[in-house]
Amino acid sequence: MNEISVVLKNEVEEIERLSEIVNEFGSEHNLSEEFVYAVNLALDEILTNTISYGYLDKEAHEITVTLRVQGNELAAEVIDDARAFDPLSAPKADVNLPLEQRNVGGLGIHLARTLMDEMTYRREQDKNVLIMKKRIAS
Amino acid sequence: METSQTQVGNASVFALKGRLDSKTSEAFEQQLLEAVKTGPQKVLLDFSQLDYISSAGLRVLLLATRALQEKEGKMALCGLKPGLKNVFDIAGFSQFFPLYASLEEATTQFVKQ
Repeated sequence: MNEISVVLKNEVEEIERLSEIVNEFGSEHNLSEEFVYAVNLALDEILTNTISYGYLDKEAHEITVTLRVQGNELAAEVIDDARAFDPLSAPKADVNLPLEQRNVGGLGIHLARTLMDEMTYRREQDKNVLIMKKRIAS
Repeated sequence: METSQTQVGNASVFALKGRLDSKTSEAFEQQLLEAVKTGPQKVLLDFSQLDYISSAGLRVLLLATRALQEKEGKMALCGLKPGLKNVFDIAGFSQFFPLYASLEEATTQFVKQ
């Protein structure tokens, strides 16, 4: 199966459940441990952000994550109905600052952007649609 | 995540197992900051059984090492798996702590120094 979709609730506990699905998808496609870690971390950082800050009400929401292998690339797509947030517009974390000046804000998105090769965002029908791609080394 | 805390010489040693992420980092933050406040000046984190860390976990390490520096203490890490080491590198965190390959190495080169 080259594609798998999973619907998550807007709870951080769901991220670990997703990681098990990602791990399984990774082994089905012979993806390396490091590759799978990168995908898990990128998804985690994006989802943690959305779940923690994206919702202005206290209602239950659905987040749909789709993993897809196309050619030599893995695409991870996240669709949610949280308030509009474009991770690409977030201020960049400066990872070269010394310890005393380091601020962890923005670090999660920096990690996601560094670990994935490509990230595209669009707002569509009141939903955030984020697609992250990573090349599979042959 | 499971944690166990022991005292080895003049250091507090925490062994972590599982995932240090947005779900587990808060409890660990309290535990670690308490140890920093009341415990010895050296803290060693054994990551050899830690499978995963996210920025939520990195944040706790940053807070703890800053708190330790205020009392002129020091924190070191050991046993990072390659995936974790990669995260430390791209987060710019590898420069903040001495990183040892194993608990044995950290014990002789950090704890007993």
